[in-house]
Amino acid sequence: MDKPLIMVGSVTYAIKGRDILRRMGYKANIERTPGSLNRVGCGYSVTVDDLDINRAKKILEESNIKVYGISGGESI
Amino acid sequence: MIYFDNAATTFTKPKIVREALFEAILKYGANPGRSGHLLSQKAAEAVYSVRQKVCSFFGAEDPAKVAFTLNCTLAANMVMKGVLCPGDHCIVSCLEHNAVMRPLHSLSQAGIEYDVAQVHSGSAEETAEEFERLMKPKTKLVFCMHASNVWGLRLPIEKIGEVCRRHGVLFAVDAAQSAGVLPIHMQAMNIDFLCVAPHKGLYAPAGTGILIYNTDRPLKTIIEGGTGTFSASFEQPEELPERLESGTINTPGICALSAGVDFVKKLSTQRIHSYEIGLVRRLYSGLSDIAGVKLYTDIPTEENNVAVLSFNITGMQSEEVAMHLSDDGFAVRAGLHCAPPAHSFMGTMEEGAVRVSPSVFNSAEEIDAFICCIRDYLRKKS
Repeated sequence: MDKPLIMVGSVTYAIKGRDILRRMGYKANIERTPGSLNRVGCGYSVTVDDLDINRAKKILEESNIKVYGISGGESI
Repeated sequence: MIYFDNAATTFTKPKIVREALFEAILKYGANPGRSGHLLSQKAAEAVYSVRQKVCSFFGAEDPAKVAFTLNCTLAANMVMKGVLCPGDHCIVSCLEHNAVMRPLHSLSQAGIEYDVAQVHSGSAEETAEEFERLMKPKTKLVFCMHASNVWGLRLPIEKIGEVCRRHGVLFAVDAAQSAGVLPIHMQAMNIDFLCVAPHKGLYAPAGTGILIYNTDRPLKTIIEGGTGTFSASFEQPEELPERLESGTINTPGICALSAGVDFVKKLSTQRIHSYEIGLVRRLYSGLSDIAGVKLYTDIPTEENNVAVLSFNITGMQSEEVAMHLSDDGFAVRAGLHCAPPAHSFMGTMEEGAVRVSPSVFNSAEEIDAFICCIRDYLRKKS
Protein backbone atom coordinates (compact mmCIF):
# COMPACT_ATOMS: atom_id res chain seq x y z
CA MET A 1 0.00 0.00 0.00
CA ASP A 2 1.32 3.46 -0.84
CA LYS A 3 2.38 5.64 2.03
CA PRO A 4 -0.40 8.05 3.02
CA LEU A 5 0.48 11.63 2.16
CA ILE A 6 -1.04 14.90 3.33
CA MET A 7 -0.49 17.37 0.51
CA VAL A 8 0.31 20.93 1.51
CA GLY A 9 1.29 24.06 -0.41
CA SER A 10 5.03 24.27 -0.04
CA VAL A 11 8.06 22.94 1.76
CA THR A 12 7.53 25.66 4.38
CA TYR A 13 4.11 24.26 5.32
CA ALA A 14 5.37 20.72 5.09
CA ILE A 15 8.10 21.46 7.63
CA LYS A 16 5.68 23.45 9.80
CA GLY A 17 3.13 20.62 9.72
CA ARG A 18 5.72 17.96 10.38
CA ASP A 19 7.03 19.88 13.37
CA ILE A 20 3.53 20.29 14.79
CA LEU A 21 2.91 16.54 14.55
CA ARG A 22 6.33 15.71 15.98
CA ARG A 23 5.74 18.01 18.95
CA MET A 24 2.59 16.00 19.58
CA GLY A 25 4.71 12.86 19.63
CA TYR A 26 3.95 11.43 16.19
CA LYS A 27 6.48 10.09 13.70
CA ALA A 28 6.07 12.59 10.90
CA ASN A 29 8.28 13.38 7.91
CA ILE A 30 8.15 15.34 4.69
CA GLU A 31 8.60 14.39 1.09
CA ARG A 32 8.01 15.72 -2.36
CA THR A 33 4.47 15.07 -3.58
CA PRO A 34 4.64 12.57 -6.46
CA GLY A 35 3.68 14.06 -9.79
CA SER A 36 1.02 11.41 -10.26
CA LEU A 37 -0.88 12.88 -7.31
CA ASN A 38 -0.22 16.52 -8.04
CA ARG A 39 -2.01 17.94 -11.03
CA VAL A 40 -0.91 21.52 -10.35
CA GLY A 41 2.76 20.60 -10.27
CA CYS A 42 5.41 20.79 -7.56
CA GLY A 43 4.48 20.47 -3.94
CA TYR A 44 5.37 18.84 -0.68
CA SER A 45 3.56 16.46 1.60
CA VAL A 46 3.62 15.46 5.21
CA THR A 47 3.74 11.77 6.03
CA VAL A 48 2.92 10.30 9.41
CA ASP A 49 3.40 6.67 10.37
CA ASP A 50 1.52 6.34 13.63
CA LEU A 51 -1.60 8.45 13.26
CA ASP A 52 -4.76 8.13 11.22
CA ILE A 53 -4.29 10.27 8.13
CA ASN A 54 -7.62 12.06 8.53
CA ARG A 55 -6.81 12.92 12.13
CA ALA A 56 -3.40 14.26 11.03
CA LYS A 57 -5.09 16.33 8.31
CA LYS A 58 -7.42 17.84 10.91
CA ILE A 59 -4.50 18.73 13.16
CA LEU A 60 -2.77 20.56 10.33
CA GLU A 61 -5.90 22.41 9.29
CA GLU A 62 -6.53 23.48 12.86
CA SER A 63 -3.01 24.92 12.79
CA ASN A 64 -3.90 27.07 9.77
CA ILE A 65 -2.07 24.85 7.31
CA LYS A 66 -4.08 24.44 4.15
CA VAL A 67 -4.34 20.81 3.06
CA TYR A 68 -4.83 20.24 -0.64
CA GLY A 69 -5.61 16.58 -0.42
CA ILE A 70 -4.56 13.27 1.00
CA SER A 71 -3.33 10.36 -1.01
CA GLY A 72 -5.74 7.59 -1.48
CA GLY A 73 -8.45 10.24 -1.57
CA GLU A 74 -8.76 12.99 -4.18
CA SER A 75 -5.60 14.26 -5.89
CA ILE A 76 -5.02 18.01 -6.24
CA MET B 1 40.46 52.58 8.77
CA ILE B 2 38.14 53.34 11.68
CA TYR B 3 34.69 52.47 10.44
CA PHE B 4 31.90 54.75 11.58
CA ASP B 5 29.46 54.06 8.75
CA ASN B 6 27.43 51.26 10.35
CA ALA B 7 24.15 52.96 9.49
CA ALA B 8 25.01 52.13 5.88
CA THR B 9 26.05 48.57 6.74
CA THR B 10 27.79 47.09 9.74
CA PHE B 11 31.46 46.27 9.35
CA THR B 12 33.15 44.18 10.48
CA LYS B 13 30.82 41.17 10.78
CA PRO B 14 31.18 38.91 13.83
CA LYS B 15 33.24 35.76 13.47
CA ILE B 16 30.20 33.52 13.94
CA VAL B 17 28.47 35.25 11.02
CA ARG B 18 31.47 34.78 8.73
CA GLU B 19 31.71 31.14 9.79
CA ALA B 20 27.99 30.54 9.30
CA LEU B 21 28.19 31.98 5.79
CA PHE B 22 31.05 29.72 4.88
CA GLU B 23 29.44 26.70 6.48
CA ALA B 24 26.21 27.32 4.56
CA ILE B 25 28.09 27.48 1.27
CA LEU B 26 29.61 24.10 2.10
CA LYS B 27 26.56 22.36 3.61
CA TYR B 28 23.44 24.04 2.21
CA GLY B 29 24.39 24.48 -1.39
CA ALA B 30 21.20 23.06 -2.90
CA ASN B 31 18.21 25.18 -3.79
CA PRO B 32 15.79 24.94 -0.84
CA GLY B 33 12.34 23.56 -1.55
CA ARG B 34 12.83 23.10 -5.25
CA SER B 35 13.82 19.45 -5.51
CA GLY B 36 12.89 16.33 -3.66
CA HIS B 37 16.41 15.23 -2.83
CA LEU B 38 17.85 15.31 0.64
CA LEU B 39 20.20 18.22 -0.01
CA SER B 40 17.31 20.44 -1.10
CA GLN B 41 15.33 19.38 1.93
CA LYS B 42 18.29 20.07 4.21
CA ALA B 43 18.62 23.57 2.79
CA ALA B 44 14.88 24.12 3.23
CA GLU B 45 15.09 23.00 6.86
CA ALA B 46 17.96 25.42 7.47
CA VAL B 47 15.95 28.29 5.99
CA TYR B 48 12.83 27.36 7.96
CA SER B 49 14.78 27.37 11.21
CA VAL B 50 15.84 30.96 10.44
CA ARG B 51 12.21 31.90 9.81
CA GLN B 52 11.40 30.54 13.26
CA LYS B 53 14.27 32.42 14.88
CA VAL B 54 13.38 35.72 13.20
CA CYS B 55 9.69 35.25 14.02
CA SER B 56 10.51 34.82 17.68
CA PHE B 57 13.05 37.65 17.75
CA PHE B 58 10.54 40.18 16.43
CA GLY B 59 7.49 38.92 18.30
CA ALA B 60 5.66 37.88 15.16
CA GLU B 61 2.98 35.23 15.06
CA ASP B 62 3.91 32.76 12.39
CA PRO B 63 7.29 31.74 10.91
CA ALA B 64 5.52 31.06 7.63
CA LYS B 65 4.90 34.82 7.43
CA VAL B 66 8.61 35.63 7.49
CA ALA B 67 9.71 36.28 3.91
CA PHE B 68 13.27 36.82 2.75
CA THR B 69 13.67 39.54 0.15
CA LEU B 70 16.59 41.03 -1.72
CA ASN B 71 16.83 43.87 0.80
CA CYS B 72 14.79 46.14 3.05
CA THR B 73 14.01 48.51 0.18
CA LEU B 74 12.33 45.73 -1.77
CA ALA B 75 10.40 44.75 1.35
CA ALA B 76 9.14 48.35 1.66
CA ASN B 77 8.16 48.39 -2.01
CA MET B 78 6.31 45.10 -1.62
CA VAL B 79 4.28 46.50 1.25
CA MET B 80 3.35 49.82 -0.30
CA LYS B 81 2.65 48.49 -3.77
CA GLY B 82 0.97 45.43 -2.34
CA VAL B 83 -1.40 47.31 -0.07
CA LEU B 84 -2.22 50.62 -1.71
CA CYS B 85 -4.69 51.08 -4.56
CA PRO B 86 -5.68 54.26 -6.41
CA GLY B 87 -7.84 56.38 -4.12
CA ASP B 88 -6.13 55.13 -0.96
CA HIS B 89 -4.37 57.40 1.50
CA CYS B 90 -1.05 56.75 3.24
CA ILE B 91 0.69 58.57 6.10
CA VAL B 92 4.47 58.70 6.48
CA SER B 93 6.79 60.62 8.78
CA CYS B 94 8.82 63.69 7.86
CA LEU B 95 12.10 61.76 8.17
CA GLU B 96 11.59 58.91 5.72
CA HIS B 97 14.26 57.29 3.58
CA ASN B 98 13.89 57.10 -0.19
CA ALA B 99 13.15 53.39 0.24
CA VAL B 100 9.72 54.65 1.30
CA MET B 101 9.50 58.03 -0.43
CA ARG B 102 10.39 56.93 -3.95
CA PRO B 103 7.84 54.14 -4.24
CA LEU B 104 5.33 56.40 -2.55
CA HIS B 105 6.06 59.16 -5.02
CA SER B 106 5.63 56.69 -7.85
CA LEU B 107 2.32 55.56 -6.37
CA SER B 108 1.16 59.15 -5.92
CA GLN B 109 1.36 59.55 -9.66
CA ALA B 110 -1.02 56.63 -9.97
CA GLY B 111 -3.75 58.06 -7.75
CA ILE B 112 -2.56 57.35 -4.22
CA GLU B 113 -2.59 60.27 -1.80
CA TYR B 114 -0.25 60.70 1.11
CA ASP B 115 0.41 63.06 3.98
CA VAL B 116 3.54 63.66 6.05
CA ALA B 117 3.42 63.62 9.84
CA GLN B 118 5.76 65.89 11.75
CA VAL B 119 8.08 64.25 14.26
CA HIS B 120 8.52 66.00 17.59
CA SER B 121 11.86 65.00 18.99
CA GLY B 122 11.52 63.89 22.60
CA SER B 123 7.72 63.92 22.59
CA ALA B 124 6.20 60.58 21.73
CA GLU B 125 2.68 61.81 22.43
CA GLU B 126 2.95 64.80 20.11
CA THR B 127 4.41 62.69 17.33
CA ALA B 128 1.65 60.08 17.64
CA GLU B 129 -0.94 62.88 17.65
CA GLU B 130 0.45 64.15 14.36
CA PHE B 131 -0.21 60.79 12.76
CA GLU B 132 -3.70 60.63 14.25
CA ARG B 133 -4.49 64.14 13.09
CA LEU B 134 -3.82 63.11 9.48
CA MET B 135 -6.09 60.05 9.53
CA LYS B 136 -8.91 60.08 6.98
CA PRO B 137 -11.67 57.59 6.16
CA LYS B 138 -9.63 56.46 3.14
CA THR B 139 -6.36 56.05 5.06
CA LYS B 140 -5.23 52.50 4.42
CA LEU B 141 -1.61 52.45 5.53
CA VAL B 142 0.79 54.21 7.89
CA PHE B 143 4.41 53.59 6.99
CA CYS B 144 7.15 55.03 9.14
CA MET B 145 10.72 54.43 10.13
CA HIS B 146 11.51 53.33 13.65
CA ALA B 147 14.62 55.54 13.77
CA SER B 148 16.15 58.17 11.52
CA ASN B 149 19.20 57.13 9.52
CA VAL B 150 20.38 60.77 9.57
CA TRP B 151 19.59 62.25 12.97
CA GLY B 152 19.14 59.12 15.04
CA LEU B 153 15.73 60.29 16.25
CA ARG B 154 13.52 57.50 17.46
CA LEU B 155 9.83 57.38 16.53
CA PRO B 156 7.24 56.12 19.03
CA ILE B 157 6.08 53.14 17.01
CA GLU B 158 4.26 51.65 19.99
CA LYS B 159 2.00 54.72 20.19
CA ILE B 160 1.67 55.03 16.41
CA GLY B 161 0.71 51.35 16.26
CA GLU B 162 -1.96 51.96 18.85
CA VAL B 163 -3.33 54.86 16.78
CA CYS B 164 -3.43 52.62 13.71
CA ARG B 165 -5.21 49.88 15.59
CA ARG B 166 -7.88 52.28 16.82
CA HIS B 167 -8.48 53.51 13.28
CA GLY B 168 -8.33 50.09 11.61
CA VAL B 169 -5.35 51.17 9.49
CA LEU B 170 -2.46 48.92 8.50
CA PHE B 171 0.87 49.80 10.07
CA ALA B 172 4.23 49.16 8.43
CA VAL B 173 7.56 49.90 10.09
CA ASP B 174 10.90 50.44 8.42
CA ALA B 175 13.23 48.91 11.00
CA ALA B 176 16.39 49.40 8.94
CA GLN B 177 18.10 51.41 11.69
CA SER B 178 16.52 49.76 14.71
CA ALA B 179 16.43 45.98 14.21
CA GLY B 180 18.97 44.50 16.60
CA VAL B 181 19.23 47.72 18.59
CA LEU B 182 15.74 48.62 19.81
CA PRO B 183 13.10 46.20 21.10
CA ILE B 184 10.51 45.32 18.48
CA HIS B 185 7.52 43.10 19.22
CA MET B 186 5.15 43.07 16.29
CA GLN B 187 2.15 41.68 18.10
CA ALA B 188 2.47 43.94 21.13
CA MET B 189 3.16 47.01 18.98
CA ASN B 190 0.33 46.37 16.48
CA ILE B 191 2.78 46.22 13.58
CA ASP B 192 1.31 44.59 10.47
CA PHE B 193 4.43 44.69 8.30
CA LEU B 194 8.04 44.89 9.44
CA CYS B 195 10.81 45.64 6.95
CA VAL B 196 14.28 44.72 8.15
CA ALA B 197 17.79 45.32 6.83
CA PRO B 198 19.73 42.45 8.44
CA HIS B 199 23.07 43.73 7.13
CA LYS B 200 22.85 46.64 9.57
CA GLY B 201 21.94 45.97 13.22
CA LEU B 202 21.77 42.18 12.82
CA TYR B 203 25.35 42.04 11.52
CA ALA B 204 24.38 39.82 8.58
CA PRO B 205 26.00 40.03 5.16
CA ALA B 206 24.33 42.26 2.59
CA GLY B 207 22.07 40.56 0.06
CA THR B 208 19.02 39.66 2.14
CA GLY B 209 16.13 41.65 3.53
CA ILE B 210 13.23 40.53 5.68
CA LEU B 211 9.54 41.26 5.36
CA ILE B 212 7.45 39.98 8.25
CA TYR B 213 3.72 39.87 7.83
CA ASN B 214 1.41 40.05 10.85
CA THR B 215 -1.98 40.43 9.22
CA ASP B 216 -4.37 38.33 7.19
CA ARG B 217 -4.76 41.13 4.64
CA PRO B 218 -3.44 39.85 1.29
CA LEU B 219 -0.62 41.66 -0.51
CA LYS B 220 -0.70 42.13 -4.26
CA THR B 221 2.63 40.95 -5.61
CA ILE B 222 5.09 43.10 -7.51
CA ILE B 223 7.36 40.23 -8.48
CA GLU B 224 6.11 36.94 -9.81
CA GLY B 225 8.13 33.91 -10.76
CA GLY B 226 9.15 30.42 -9.81
CA THR B 227 8.42 29.43 -6.24
CA GLY B 228 8.80 25.64 -6.41
CA THR B 229 5.06 25.29 -5.79
CA PHE B 230 1.98 24.88 -8.04
CA SER B 231 4.29 25.10 -11.02
CA ALA B 232 1.66 24.06 -13.57
CA SER B 233 -0.18 27.33 -12.94
CA PHE B 234 0.78 30.78 -14.21
CA GLU B 235 -0.88 32.30 -11.14
CA GLN B 236 1.46 33.41 -8.37
CA PRO B 237 0.70 31.14 -5.38
CA GLU B 238 -1.42 32.63 -2.61
CA GLU B 239 0.39 31.21 0.37
CA LEU B 240 3.20 32.95 2.20
CA PRO B 241 6.11 33.04 2.35
CA GLU B 242 6.71 31.63 -1.12
CA ARG B 243 4.26 34.14 -2.61
CA LEU B 244 6.82 36.86 -1.81
CA GLU B 245 9.92 34.80 -2.64
CA SER B 246 10.01 34.30 -6.37
CA GLY B 247 13.29 32.96 -7.65
CA THR B 248 16.14 31.55 -5.64
CA ILE B 249 16.63 32.93 -2.16
CA ASN B 250 20.01 33.74 -0.64
CA THR B 251 20.40 30.59 1.48
CA PRO B 252 23.99 31.27 2.64
CA GLY B 253 23.06 34.84 3.53
CA ILE B 254 19.99 33.66 5.40
CA CYS B 255 22.05 31.16 7.39
CA ALA B 256 24.54 33.91 8.21
CA LEU B 257 21.63 36.14 9.23
CA SER B 258 20.72 33.48 11.77
CA ALA B 259 24.18 33.76 13.29
CA GLY B 260 23.79 37.53 13.36
CA VAL B 261 20.59 37.19 15.36
CA ASP B 262 22.41 34.86 17.74
CA PHE B 263 25.20 37.41 18.11
CA VAL B 264 22.75 40.19 18.95
CA LYS B 265 20.75 38.01 21.34
CA LYS B 266 23.88 36.95 23.18
CA LEU B 267 24.89 40.57 23.77
CA SER B 268 21.24 41.70 24.12
CA THR B 269 19.74 44.61 22.22
CA GLN B 270 19.59 46.64 25.44
CA ARG B 271 23.33 46.34 26.05
CA ILE B 272 24.15 47.03 22.41
CA HIS B 273 21.94 50.11 22.40
CA SER B 274 23.28 51.36 25.70
CA TYR B 275 26.88 50.91 24.59
CA GLU B 276 26.37 52.60 21.24
CA ILE B 277 24.48 55.51 22.75
CA GLY B 278 27.36 55.93 25.18
CA LEU B 279 29.68 56.33 22.20
CA VAL B 280 27.56 58.94 20.43
CA ARG B 281 27.03 60.84 23.67
CA ARG B 282 30.81 60.98 24.05
CA LEU B 283 31.07 62.16 20.45
CA TYR B 284 28.35 64.77 20.96
CA SER B 285 30.05 66.14 24.07
CA GLY B 286 33.40 66.34 22.31
CA LEU B 287 32.07 67.97 19.15
CA SER B 288 29.94 70.46 21.05
CA ASP B 289 33.14 71.87 22.57
CA ILE B 290 34.67 72.64 19.17
CA ALA B 291 33.95 76.07 17.69
CA GLY B 292 32.75 75.75 14.12
CA VAL B 293 31.00 72.39 14.56
CA LYS B 294 27.26 72.50 14.20
CA LEU B 295 25.07 69.90 15.87
CA TYR B 296 21.38 69.66 15.17
CA THR B 297 19.82 67.62 17.92
CA ASP B 298 19.91 67.44 21.68
CA ILE B 299 22.48 65.12 23.19
CA PRO B 300 21.38 61.56 22.32
CA THR B 301 19.64 59.49 24.94
CA GLU B 302 18.70 55.84 25.06
CA GLU B 303 15.04 56.77 25.18
CA ASN B 304 14.92 59.14 22.23
CA ASN B 305 17.70 58.05 19.87
CA VAL B 306 19.67 55.36 18.14
CA ALA B 307 23.43 55.70 17.71
CA VAL B 308 23.48 57.93 14.65
CA LEU B 309 24.87 61.45 14.96
CA SER B 310 25.21 63.95 12.14
CA PHE B 311 26.97 67.29 12.19
CA ASN B 312 28.48 69.94 9.97
CA ILE B 313 31.44 72.26 9.99
CA THR B 314 30.26 75.80 9.43
CA GLY B 315 31.02 77.06 5.96
CA MET B 316 31.95 73.68 4.53
CA GLN B 317 30.16 71.13 2.41
CA SER B 318 29.71 67.85 4.21
CA GLU B 319 31.39 65.83 1.44
CA GLU B 320 34.55 67.90 1.81
CA VAL B 321 34.67 67.15 5.52
CA ALA B 322 34.04 63.46 4.90
CA MET B 323 36.83 63.31 2.34
CA HIS B 324 39.27 64.81 4.80
CA LEU B 325 38.12 62.33 7.44
CA SER B 326 38.63 59.47 4.99
CA ASP B 327 42.18 60.73 4.28
CA ASP B 328 42.75 60.65 8.02
CA GLY B 329 41.41 57.11 8.34
CA PHE B 330 37.77 57.58 9.35
CA ALA B 331 34.88 56.11 7.36
CA VAL B 332 31.74 58.23 7.59
CA ARG B 333 28.96 59.14 5.19
CA ALA B 334 28.18 62.65 4.01
CA GLY B 335 25.49 64.17 1.82
CA LEU B 336 21.79 63.52 1.97
CA HIS B 337 21.89 59.84 3.08
CA CYS B 338 19.07 58.92 0.66
CA ALA B 339 16.75 60.76 3.05
CA PRO B 340 16.01 64.25 1.68
CA PRO B 341 12.96 64.69 3.95
CA ALA B 342 15.22 64.34 6.99
CA HIS B 343 17.44 67.11 5.65
CA SER B 344 14.47 69.32 4.81
CA PHE B 345 13.35 68.78 8.39
CA MET B 346 16.65 70.16 9.74
CA GLY B 347 17.39 72.70 7.01
CA THR B 348 20.47 70.87 5.70
CA MET B 349 19.42 70.23 2.10
CA GLU B 350 22.12 72.56 0.81
CA GLU B 351 25.15 71.20 2.64
CA GLY B 352 23.97 67.74 3.70
CA ALA B 353 25.59 66.47 6.87
CA VAL B 354 28.44 64.28 8.07
CA ARG B 355 27.03 61.16 9.67
CA VAL B 356 28.82 59.11 12.33
CA SER B 357 27.26 55.76 13.24
CA PRO B 358 29.28 53.46 15.51
CA SER B 359 28.62 49.81 16.24
CA VAL B 360 29.56 47.44 19.05
CA PHE B 361 32.92 47.03 17.37
CA ASN B 362 33.84 50.68 17.90
CA SER B 363 35.45 52.04 21.05
CA ALA B 364 35.60 55.19 23.13
CA GLU B 365 39.23 55.61 22.07
CA GLU B 366 38.16 55.68 18.44
CA ILE B 367 35.56 58.32 19.22
CA ASP B 368 38.22 60.40 21.00
CA ALA B 369 40.52 60.07 18.00
CA PHE B 370 37.71 61.29 15.74
CA ILE B 371 37.11 64.31 17.94
CA CYS B 372 40.83 65.13 17.88
CA CYS B 373 40.84 64.84 14.10
CA ILE B 374 38.00 67.35 13.75
CA ARG B 375 39.63 69.69 16.24
CA ASP B 376 43.00 69.53 14.45
CA TYR B 377 41.35 70.03 11.07
CA LEU B 378 39.60 73.17 12.19
CA ARG B 379 42.74 74.46 13.87
CA LYS B 380 44.70 74.10 10.61
CA LYS B 381 41.95 75.77 8.62
CA SER B 382 41.74 78.82 10.90
